[in-house]
Amino acid sequence: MMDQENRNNILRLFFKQVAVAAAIVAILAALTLTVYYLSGQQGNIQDSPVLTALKAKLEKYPDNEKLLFEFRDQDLKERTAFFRKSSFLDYGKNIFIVFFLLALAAFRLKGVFTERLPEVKKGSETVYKTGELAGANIYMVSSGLTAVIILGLLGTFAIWGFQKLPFEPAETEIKEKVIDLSSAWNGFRGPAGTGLVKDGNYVKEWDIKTGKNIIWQIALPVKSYSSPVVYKDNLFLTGSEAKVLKVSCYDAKNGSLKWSSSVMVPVKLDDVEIMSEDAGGAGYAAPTTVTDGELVFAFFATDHLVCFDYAGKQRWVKYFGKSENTYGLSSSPLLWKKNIILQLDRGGEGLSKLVSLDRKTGQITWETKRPVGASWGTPAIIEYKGKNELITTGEEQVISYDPDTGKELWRVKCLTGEISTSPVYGDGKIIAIDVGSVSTVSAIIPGGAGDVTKTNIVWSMQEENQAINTPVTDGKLLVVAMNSLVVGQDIKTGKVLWKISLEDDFWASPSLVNGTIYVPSQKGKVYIVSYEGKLLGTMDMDSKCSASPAFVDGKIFIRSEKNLFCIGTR
Amino acid sequence: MKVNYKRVLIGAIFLYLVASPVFGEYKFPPPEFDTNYLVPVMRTVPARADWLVYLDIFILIEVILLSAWASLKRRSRNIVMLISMFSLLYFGFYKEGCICPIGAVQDIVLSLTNPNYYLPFTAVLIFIIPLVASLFIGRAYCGGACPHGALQDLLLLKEIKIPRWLDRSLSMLAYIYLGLAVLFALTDSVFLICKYDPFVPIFRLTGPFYMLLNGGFFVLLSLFIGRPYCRFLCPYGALLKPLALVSREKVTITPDKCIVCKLCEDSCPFGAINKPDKPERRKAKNRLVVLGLFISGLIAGGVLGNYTGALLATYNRDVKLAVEIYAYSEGEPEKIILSDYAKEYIRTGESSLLLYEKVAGVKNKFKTGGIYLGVWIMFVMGLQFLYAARKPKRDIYEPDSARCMSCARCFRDCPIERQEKSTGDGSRKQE
Repeated sequence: MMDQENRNNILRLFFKQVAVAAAIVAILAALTLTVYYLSGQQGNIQDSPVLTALKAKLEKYPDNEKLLFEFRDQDLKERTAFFRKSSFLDYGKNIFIVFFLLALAAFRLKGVFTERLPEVKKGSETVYKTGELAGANIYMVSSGLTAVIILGLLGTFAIWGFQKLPFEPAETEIKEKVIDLSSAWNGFRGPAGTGLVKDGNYVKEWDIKTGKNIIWQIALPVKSYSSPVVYKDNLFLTGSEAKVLKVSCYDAKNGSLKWSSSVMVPVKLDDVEIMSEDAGGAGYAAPTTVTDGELVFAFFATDHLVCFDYAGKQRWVKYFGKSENTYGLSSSPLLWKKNIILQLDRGGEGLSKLVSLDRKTGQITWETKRPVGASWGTPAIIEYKGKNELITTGEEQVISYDPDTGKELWRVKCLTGEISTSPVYGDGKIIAIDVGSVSTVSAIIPGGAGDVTKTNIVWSMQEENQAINTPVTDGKLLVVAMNSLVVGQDIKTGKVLWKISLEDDFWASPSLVNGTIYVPSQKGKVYIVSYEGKLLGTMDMDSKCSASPAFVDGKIFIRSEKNLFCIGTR
Repeated sequence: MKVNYKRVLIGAIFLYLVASPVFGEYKFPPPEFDTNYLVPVMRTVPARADWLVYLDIFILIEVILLSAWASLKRRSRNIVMLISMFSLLYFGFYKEGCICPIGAVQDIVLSLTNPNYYLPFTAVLIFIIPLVASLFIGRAYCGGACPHGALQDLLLLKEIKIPRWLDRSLSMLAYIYLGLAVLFALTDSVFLICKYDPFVPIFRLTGPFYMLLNGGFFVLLSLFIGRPYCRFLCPYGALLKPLALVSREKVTITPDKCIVCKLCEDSCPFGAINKPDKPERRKAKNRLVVLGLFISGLIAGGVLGNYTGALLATYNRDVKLAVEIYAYSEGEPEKIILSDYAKEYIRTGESSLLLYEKVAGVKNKFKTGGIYLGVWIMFVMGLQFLYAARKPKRDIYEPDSARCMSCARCFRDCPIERQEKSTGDGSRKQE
């Protein structure tokens, strides 16, 4: 019978041999792995010079089939080599780990069966005294040193941490800037959204062929129905180009392009179906931009509201979900205090809403569901009896809201058909037009609560034709441009004061500028009409004009289908 | 020819470190043309079954108890070693080091501030069980159940003794690391302990390069220094130390028969054996001055920590993102290479102002947390001073309950213990 000592000796020897053998295998595995790793194909197939050269050749001669097969063969060859190498390294790694751990474990187990008497190490002696350094407690000294190092590090980090992050505002920057927008044409139909201009000298005659009164003209690379917006020397336009949404800024002085930025959106535009301008839809970019003097906001038919700064950098984008609007959206964003208000009228149950967003961040400040289907008008903010009201036109009704909270104030059911017109306000009356085969104009007094259809309609009259744009009023005269007809009416009673028959159609809204009416047309003309209803002139443009013009500082900015014109005296 | 196994093993480890890039994760692009190959669909690995999780907890409890029995009752280094090897294989290589009590502290802390963070009850158990155990049986978890400690123990081939004063100073790092880990977890920034765990990439046989580098560094250290991670960096060890100090059962060597031979001290690779000491009586310092210094230290720690917190905030992913987005929006975008995270953020279209607002909140959290971190560091520093100023009279060699990892090496080398074992009185009763 084997005694304990012999058994231990055998086990010790066994584990010793196992440890050595396993360690040798581990070393060999590690050596092989290292050599193999450093040899042959090193990295990613993307870095292969042969494939890169072949790819470049193939790009030059894409129809060369021989080259294509050569590329595929080489790709397969390198791929196979790479995966063979990866597989080898993977197995090798596992072999190394297993044998390495085995070596360690066997080494330890060898120790278990090794009868080794502990020895007091050389120079070691029993200490009967606390460690000292120059007479001081060494632990106190080391603790003191540690404290100094820690405090030093904390101090250094604190100094670094004292610096502000690059985007943290300095104390002086926190005050909000006040920007005067009174002389700007900063949104759809001007600062008040009325299309009304009360000062400045604007030419009533020009000729794009001879260049008379044409300050500059430029060709537009993008297509859309949106109108130009101008603040100081910046003219903003939107458009779309091969499913890329664009916001562009031109120099209002000379028409040179300052920047043109593509909108970065979080959805695939390929998945969004929009009826194009050619197919009779509103296209991607019918809504007009609005600017607060620092930022410009553009809304697209893809249901994206985008904010750019004046350097053309996108600040934020808000997506409102998939659009359900047959022709595409055309309601323009509206500036109100620190917010942007957007009327999102879409087909489908419960999809329409009014949304107010913080200008700087795009965060929703309030949101109100609208009991209407799709419509295309832009809301207007009016002041009535010292209170502000947000007036909207939509399917069947005109609804007023509190622009600060989105709370509904009153509603009037007076509209039929598909509503593309926006409300206007003058002489204490809101004018709303519907879009049937013929249009009905309704004059409504604001105020009240709930359904005020029976009490608030002052007058209502049926026009002779269909109007799809927005009328203009100065509080006395109401001008409606409809198919083949421009009509001047008394806003008090609705009585027709004059009418001009024209063989033309009008999608752009008319403007009333110092008593003169400018009406751009679908036949590529701008009709100049006097306050009294006399046709003063017909200006030929190069192509149809669907956008409403901007009037700023004696200059008229008109967007036709193909060009952008700056009209005025130099 | 006599083979020096230690050198052979050390050589193998160095080679392993050279070959470590093969452990790295690798991504390979698919071909640029159509092939018949079907790209595999990405699948989510299902969570571990509940009963297996509870089995893990049961095994953890068993291993801790076994480890305590082996070190306190059976007093056998060999059994402790075998238990720790099991833990290395099971909790380390099989469970891949997750979830472990070391990292669980972060889950606990994050769940306190973020109600959306799901904290499994099992994670709480895994965190608490070793802590509770240490109140009764000392650091039995460290001795036999911790795979990190087991791996380091296995790697220790050529021990270099660390001077006691340096050991004490370096052990402060664990408390600072704990404070930092709590701050980063509280602010939902990063699980620092997990991110920089040196041994998890070894257990998983893969990991990002920085983790492999970190692992390689600690593997090298472990060859010469007994459990460097456990002693100087382990934040869980920092929690276990004070509890082990008041533990009901403590490791003792042979208090009644110690012959002051110093063999136990030599055998301990963790510097956890206190020497006999006969300190000279010194005049006590003015306690008010000491208290004043202590309070001043705490205040200084709080003030400096406040600004240090602001610096630490720059390691938060949202702050990093905001800095990147700011550089992108204010600089020349075409010259800036954005991270995937930033690209994804830009794709959402959210205003950078919202991000800046969010980041201002994050920074404030860090600044507030920094105050507590600074106070915590100075508080531990103060305790370190008090501990250093203690002058206990000691006639024999005794294990330091806080530092002792219950590894049972000291019993193996104690001549009295050996004698008792050889005479059949193997299972020594705890004094």
